[in-house]
Amino acid sequence: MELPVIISQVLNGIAFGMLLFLLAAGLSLMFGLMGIVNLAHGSYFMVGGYVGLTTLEATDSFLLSIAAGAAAGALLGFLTERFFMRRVYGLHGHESILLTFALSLVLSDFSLFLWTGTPQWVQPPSLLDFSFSLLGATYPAYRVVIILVGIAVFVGLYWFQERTLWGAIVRAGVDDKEMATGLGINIPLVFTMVFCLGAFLAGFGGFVGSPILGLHIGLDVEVIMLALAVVIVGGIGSLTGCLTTCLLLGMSDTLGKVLWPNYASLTIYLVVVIVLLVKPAGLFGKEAK
Amino acid sequence: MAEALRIEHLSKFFGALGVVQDLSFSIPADQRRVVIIGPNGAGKTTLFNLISGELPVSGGTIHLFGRDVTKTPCYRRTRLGLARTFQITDLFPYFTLMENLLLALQAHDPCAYQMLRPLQSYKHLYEKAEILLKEMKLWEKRDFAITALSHGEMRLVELMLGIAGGSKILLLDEPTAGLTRSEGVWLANMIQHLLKDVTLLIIEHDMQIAFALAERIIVLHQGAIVADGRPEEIRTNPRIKEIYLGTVS
Amino acid sequence: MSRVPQQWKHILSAAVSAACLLLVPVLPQYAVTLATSIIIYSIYVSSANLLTGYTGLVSLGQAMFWGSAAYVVAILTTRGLVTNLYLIALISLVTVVVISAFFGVLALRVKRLYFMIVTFAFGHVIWCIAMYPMQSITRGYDGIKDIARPDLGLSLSLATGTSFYYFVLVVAAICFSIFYLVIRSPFGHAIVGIRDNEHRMIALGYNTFLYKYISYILAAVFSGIAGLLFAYFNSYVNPSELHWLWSGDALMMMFIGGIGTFWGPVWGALAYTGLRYWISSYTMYWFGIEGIIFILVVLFFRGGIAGFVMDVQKRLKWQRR
Repeated sequence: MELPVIISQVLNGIAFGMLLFLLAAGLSLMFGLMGIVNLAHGSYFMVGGYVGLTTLEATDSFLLSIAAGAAAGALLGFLTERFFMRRVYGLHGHESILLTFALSLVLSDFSLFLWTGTPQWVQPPSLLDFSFSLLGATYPAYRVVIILVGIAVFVGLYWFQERTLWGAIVRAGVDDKEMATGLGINIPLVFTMVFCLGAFLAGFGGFVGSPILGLHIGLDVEVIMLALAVVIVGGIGSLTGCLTTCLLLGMSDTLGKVLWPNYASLTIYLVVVIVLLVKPAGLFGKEAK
Repeated sequence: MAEALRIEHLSKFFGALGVVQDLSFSIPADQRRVVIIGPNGAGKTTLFNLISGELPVSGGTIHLFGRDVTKTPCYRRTRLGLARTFQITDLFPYFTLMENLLLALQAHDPCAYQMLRPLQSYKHLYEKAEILLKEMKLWEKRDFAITALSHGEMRLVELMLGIAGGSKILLLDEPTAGLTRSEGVWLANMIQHLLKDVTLLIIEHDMQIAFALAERIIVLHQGAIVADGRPEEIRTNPRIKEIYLGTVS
Repeated sequence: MSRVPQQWKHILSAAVSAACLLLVPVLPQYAVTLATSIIIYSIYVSSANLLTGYTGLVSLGQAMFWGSAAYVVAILTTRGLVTNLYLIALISLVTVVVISAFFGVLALRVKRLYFMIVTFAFGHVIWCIAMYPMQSITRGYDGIKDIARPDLGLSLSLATGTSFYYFVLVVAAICFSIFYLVIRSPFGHAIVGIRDNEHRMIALGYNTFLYKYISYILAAVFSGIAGLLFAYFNSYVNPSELHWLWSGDALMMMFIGGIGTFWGPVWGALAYTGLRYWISSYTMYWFGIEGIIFILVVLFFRGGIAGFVMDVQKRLKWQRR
């Protein structure tokens, strides 16, 4: 492979990794704080993308569509948390997996009903719909923007987590729920907030990612499987670790699809198995649960 | 074997925190009632967890009836004659009293891995259970769900699970925890009466019961033994009073 | 109503059920086919129930064993490598034992939720392997077709729907009898103890790892038996038999039927297959409806159908406890 191809694939991988980060950050926080695995997270991504698409077709405003997609995600997250997750907190982790899996089935068929099974493509906004040359390769500007957006989200989340009171509250809740409640922190409210934030990011990611990934039924499963792999391999409790793992897995998946297309998924999940058996807390994980 | 239990230079660290430090003592096989007392955080339950194998040691050795069990897995120590009960009652919530007891009895029986013959065909287990239940005066409640028993009765069942396996040394972690004074006295009497041939190592917070039961008292403080002797000696030891009343660190 | 003795009620319901089962072939062909698949699925779900409902290990990897057994049958039969049914069954089950023995040792090192995830991940790896690296043997996405019905060697043909139905019924009866013996045995009692309080079981002197390991392998073997029956029944095997969705379906059927109960898996297989068949004829949105049903069961009917039936019986005072 020549250099330009390698570079564009690596950039693709990083861009994809950023989209994964939008999903994995929320997923990781939900697991760390509430001990639940939310398999519907991929559905928020997909539905957010579809809602954004419909908004775009109606209003022609990319920005409005982003907001619509993110809001759709947040709404779904709120409804999930309020009506389903409340009942399974404190139960075994597998209850949440099964429940959210069932929810993802419902959302998937719901999307199929509303938007049909035909794959859709979203054009990047005309402002960003150009390519530029980089070391001999022509590269779409939009993907670079995605990378920048991802970095911005990371910085934002990091600042939120480390430097704000809300962030400290969330971190306290992750470390020791009972103690946090004892200190007067409204844990249920924190849970809802975290859920909505994660789902918001997912919906956001679904639409801003749609010029790259497209929108099709089954996207939810594809992305959730990778996001899950990230959370397991990367571990929870470290935002930087999450980002790093997203980039690693994003690149593995993208390069894998180019170099050995049939083995990409296999390799990633083999790594998942090995990590689970050797260091269940994950590569960057803080504590084994 | 002259010794039921021998602990040598036992230590346990959680990170930099030393919960048990250089502990050494031994219990002769004919000694029956050893009570461990000490303020909260002295390391008593940690000591039990080390002896039973639930926690790995950071240093030192544990010998059970002459055998080094420091690295032996928890379940195998039970096979060698050690059993324990827990401070917080830890029974099988979906089983009846009889079923709870059968689980304890079947553990050391050759039929434990039997997959094709029904449990009910092993009459000898039921007979042993009957003997135990009648001694504890719980025979009439044998088919009750375990959750239907009173707290005191559950503490008694907790005790029964400890002795059902026929162990020769039993670790009792605060057997009277959560009981009223009179229930505690009743349980202490049961212990005296039923476990005449078993060496008991008891953690106890209730001083009256501790001194009434013990033939030897070990006082633990901040992970180390500060006193070890007959009840009369301990009772008059000024250091013990200081530890409990907090004037000494 | 309570004047009828307990035994008579059990004998009566057993007799009625047996009669229904034996008389299924009088129904039209599609019903016989449906019934056969339900019985095969109930063996599969029962094996998962042994591991999950009775031992407390939630696994998302049972499809691995169903599919492996099915593929072994498919490969050996269509390539004419082995023709003896009993030898094929033996090889198929030995394969399953080897896989479960190897993987069980690894998987059982991790705790509950992580066990579920690692079984899911490993199952997915196996699916990937069947799809691509082993494509020359498994024919990948296309799957293996035209698996001929086995020859029992008893001058009985299993080619018809009816004869195969009875064959499956006999195998199921044997499997369920074994399940019954295992559940009522000391081993069965111990695994439930491990499910409810593993910590105490260890303190009582049980080698809980060994019990869980045996349970895992046993569950794998019965999933394998179901898988091999399926290969002959369906005469077509493709990678979806190894997919985690099928492992998830086992869990769903288990929950719907009543987890940790003896007949739960049968109710679950019956309800699930029947519903799928019926609803699919009206709409293509079967998955969404399946999801809704499952959510309702998990939230409101935690005991599943079996639990519901037991509640009703209690209310009618048919049972003492």
